[in-house]
Amino acid sequence: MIAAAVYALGALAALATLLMLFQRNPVKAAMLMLTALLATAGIYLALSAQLLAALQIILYAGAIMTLFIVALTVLPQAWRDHPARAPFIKVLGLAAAAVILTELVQAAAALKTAVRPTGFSETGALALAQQLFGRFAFQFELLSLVILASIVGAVALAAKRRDA
Amino acid sequence: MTFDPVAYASAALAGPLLLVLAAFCCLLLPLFFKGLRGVQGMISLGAVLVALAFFRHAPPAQLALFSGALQVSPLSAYLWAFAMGVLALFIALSLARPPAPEGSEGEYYFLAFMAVIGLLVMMAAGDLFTAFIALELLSLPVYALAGIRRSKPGIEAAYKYFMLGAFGSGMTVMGIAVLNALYPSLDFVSLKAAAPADPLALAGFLLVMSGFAFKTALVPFHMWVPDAYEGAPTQVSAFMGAAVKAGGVVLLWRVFSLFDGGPVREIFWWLTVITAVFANLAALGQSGLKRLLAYSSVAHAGYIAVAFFGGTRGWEAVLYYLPVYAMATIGAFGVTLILEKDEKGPKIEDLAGLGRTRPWLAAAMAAFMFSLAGVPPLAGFFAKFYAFSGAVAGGYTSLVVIAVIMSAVSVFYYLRVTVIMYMKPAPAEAAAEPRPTGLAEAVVFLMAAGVLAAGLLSRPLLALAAEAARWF
Repeated sequence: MIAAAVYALGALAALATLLMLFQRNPVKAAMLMLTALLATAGIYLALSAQLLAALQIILYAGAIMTLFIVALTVLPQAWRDHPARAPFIKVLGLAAAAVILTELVQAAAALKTAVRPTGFSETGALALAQQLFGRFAFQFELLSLVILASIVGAVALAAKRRDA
Repeated sequence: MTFDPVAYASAALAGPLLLVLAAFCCLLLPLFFKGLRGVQGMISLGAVLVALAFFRHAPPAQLALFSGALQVSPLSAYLWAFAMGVLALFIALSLARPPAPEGSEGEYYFLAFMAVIGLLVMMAAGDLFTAFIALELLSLPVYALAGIRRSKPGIEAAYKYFMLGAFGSGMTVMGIAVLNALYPSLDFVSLKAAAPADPLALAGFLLVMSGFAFKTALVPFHMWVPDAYEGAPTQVSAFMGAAVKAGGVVLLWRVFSLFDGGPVREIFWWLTVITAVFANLAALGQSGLKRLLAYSSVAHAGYIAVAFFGGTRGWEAVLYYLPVYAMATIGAFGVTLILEKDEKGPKIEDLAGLGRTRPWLAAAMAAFMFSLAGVPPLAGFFAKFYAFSGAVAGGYTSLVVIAVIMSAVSVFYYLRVTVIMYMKPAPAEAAAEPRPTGLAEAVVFLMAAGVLAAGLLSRPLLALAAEAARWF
């Protein structure tokens, strides 16, 4: 049952990614990418990694996709599709894809024989929260300053000139 | 003397917390009280001066705060005093000629405070993870500050700086991820204990170091420096040269000192040589004063890197080098600020006749140039001397020979500035319009006095640096 769900969702993710690659319309491509991301979240869920699934949806499907769509609406250049002309670039891209594919196949083969550490335990939301608000409380607070400073910086850069 | 950790910690953290408070005051209060608009600079300067005034000689002890995230010690006190001093000078220069457009002073000073908070945490960080977050807190506001005028060169500077800086941060975080997978803990003490030998760990350390090298501006990670220094407001360029570099130097040293030998040192040796050679040769061809200072800043990163090879003595030299270099560079940028008529700053040729029209300013500029070149008895000479002698004692004579030769090359372009100031007549139409830049001149003359004093009386500063260096 679980295996079937993993395979089905995996196939969906792969299919959506393939379709995305050959999609010319950027918004449709973004939607296909969203499908792939959600399918990945489904895989995590099927493997009972709830926290990871939630993070995948919040971070990738939520935040990053929003960023994508906003960038698409703000930048008109993004609509113009320039397929790479130079064959060199295409070969380079194919070579990189081939390298990553062999790497992944090898890693998958290695995982089959790998011995999992016995002390493996599920990382739940509670454990993460305890770390975040306990040991890493200072760093967590510091991050809030980072985010605030980025927002203020972005606003300061993007605001219209008042004299213009 | 009884030692009370709570009192120590609260005394040490009072300054940074005051800066955070001041930052929010600058950002938020003027929104509600119209009378406070436009005086954020005064508030900031006041806050920094108060924070500096409450600096006490730190008791000789190291205290780990927040489960080891911050290491408070005489070393952090020394570096924090330095960072806050730079901030005070930066604010004074900003007050003299406000770079921020009307209505964004609040954001400007807020961002400056945030960057300095990041710098303070970075200097006292006990582990790589904290150091990385602090690095981001330092970098992100400075990207925005570089483009705060929203003019074309400013935005270009901010954009380039942001893109390359983000690349550097990405490398650092990749390295940290690798190290995190390999080692149980990322704090510097346990990293030192866990002799890093296998190639994956080496890759991790090299990635981390190259990210920090971006901030320090070692060649080939210096590409952003000339454009960012030129396009950013001059005050921000001074801040980048004095403060951002110092943060990168401290982190680089922390990672560098984990190794007693091996490939990391070898690669760093080459980085140092390339930096010293390339930066000085590139500086020869510059015509803009800000670009010249930018390349000079890269070159000085190389000299500081030479000092790394001197072990503890070298680290002492680095701690002495940082304030000395900061004084000269802030002073030189201060002169640039006084003379600049457009955003890109004056050309070197524009300094012609300065020795006649504004003799004191020219004398101060000459002092900065000679100090940067390393001419005795100015402080820059002693900084270079200690930096190089440490490396010689460590057995890295060939490295020092290269650095000394390149430093001789650098005399040429520093001297050129001086020659143009004194030997070339002022252009006829140069009716120097008087500008209200009293504060900037005050900063310049203070820095000139500092460069002179830290050279003639180098002992007290060096003693402080040596004391701080022991707490590494």
